[in-house]
Amino acid sequence: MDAEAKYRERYAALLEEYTPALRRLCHSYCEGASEGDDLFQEIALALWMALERFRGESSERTWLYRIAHNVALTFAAKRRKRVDRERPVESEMDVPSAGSDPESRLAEAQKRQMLQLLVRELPFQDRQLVLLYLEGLSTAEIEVVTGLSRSNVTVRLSRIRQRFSDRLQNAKAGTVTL
Amino acid sequence: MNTSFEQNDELCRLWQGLGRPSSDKEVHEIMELLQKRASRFERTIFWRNVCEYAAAAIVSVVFGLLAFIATSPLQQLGHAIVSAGALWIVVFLWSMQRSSSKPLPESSGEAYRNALLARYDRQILLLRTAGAWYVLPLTIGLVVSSLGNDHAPELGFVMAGIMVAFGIGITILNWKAATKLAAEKGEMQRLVEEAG
Repeated sequence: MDAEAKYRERYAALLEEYTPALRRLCHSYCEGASEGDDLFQEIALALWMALERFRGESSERTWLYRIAHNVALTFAAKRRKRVDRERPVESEMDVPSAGSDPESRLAEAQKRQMLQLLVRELPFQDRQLVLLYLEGLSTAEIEVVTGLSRSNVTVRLSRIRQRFSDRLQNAKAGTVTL
Repeated sequence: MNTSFEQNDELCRLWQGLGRPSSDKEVHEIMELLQKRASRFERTIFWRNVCEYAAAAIVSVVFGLLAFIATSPLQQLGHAIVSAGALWIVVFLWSMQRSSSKPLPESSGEAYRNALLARYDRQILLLRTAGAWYVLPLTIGLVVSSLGNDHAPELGFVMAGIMVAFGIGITILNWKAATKLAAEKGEMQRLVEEAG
């Protein structure tokens, strides 16, 4: 297999593994679905161009999330606010879990929708932290991606997580609507 | 230290259930699209550079020749200034491009932001000072050569006025572009500084 084919294969494997996470990230930073698609393409292009420089000094996923969040920051600073009313982000991303009764599926779908809204309400840097946390990165990995100190990450995440849990609990009890 | 973040909890489970898994078809489509975009991007950069250098070379050679064949000393001087000015601009741009590399997106968040902000500063400075390093040498040369038009002095004055107006217009456009970039930089700073 030649070098180019290997490169393509490596890149395709990356995309296959991380596309759902990158899509979630894009839709969390953008106003509408088409804008989310644009950001996704920007990130995918940056990954394509950066892959040849990746030497494994950090883990693959911290490398990937660094690129994704840095590109998202540049994108957010440049973008003009436009809302795609035809394809709302929430409905496109929402996938209720299968295999349970309709009532609990609906409740789960509502919680997911609310979680998306809560994430999108956050200021940019907090949103970055919480997205990394929600994708399952450890505080050490978040520190590597963001450059923030571990204690700073821990304190901020603790506060955000508490807020999210409260809001989701309240919503469950039917007392709060977003 | 709270290590509970390192375990997948209910919020993570909910979140990771959003969206659908990627399919081979989707990955294939993305790669097709990207290859097109990447090659288009490289071609655009290549041709932009070729055009910049070719335009500077043509202007420099043409005005250099005109300086030799012009009869009026003022026109000779004006043409020579334009010729040297075109060379100066291309050398200046080339040295600026060499000294300011693009921030690598795989840098840590803080390093990337700092590199990006420094790049914004350089670009803003370049645009704001374009009147001095870009417009002025060419405008002075063109005005001087226009004023050196012995055959039709009135036309020379008109041409000089047009050149000055043109130079002012270009300076204003660059200034506006700098203002737009400054707004982008401000937005970026706002995004990274806003606290939760």
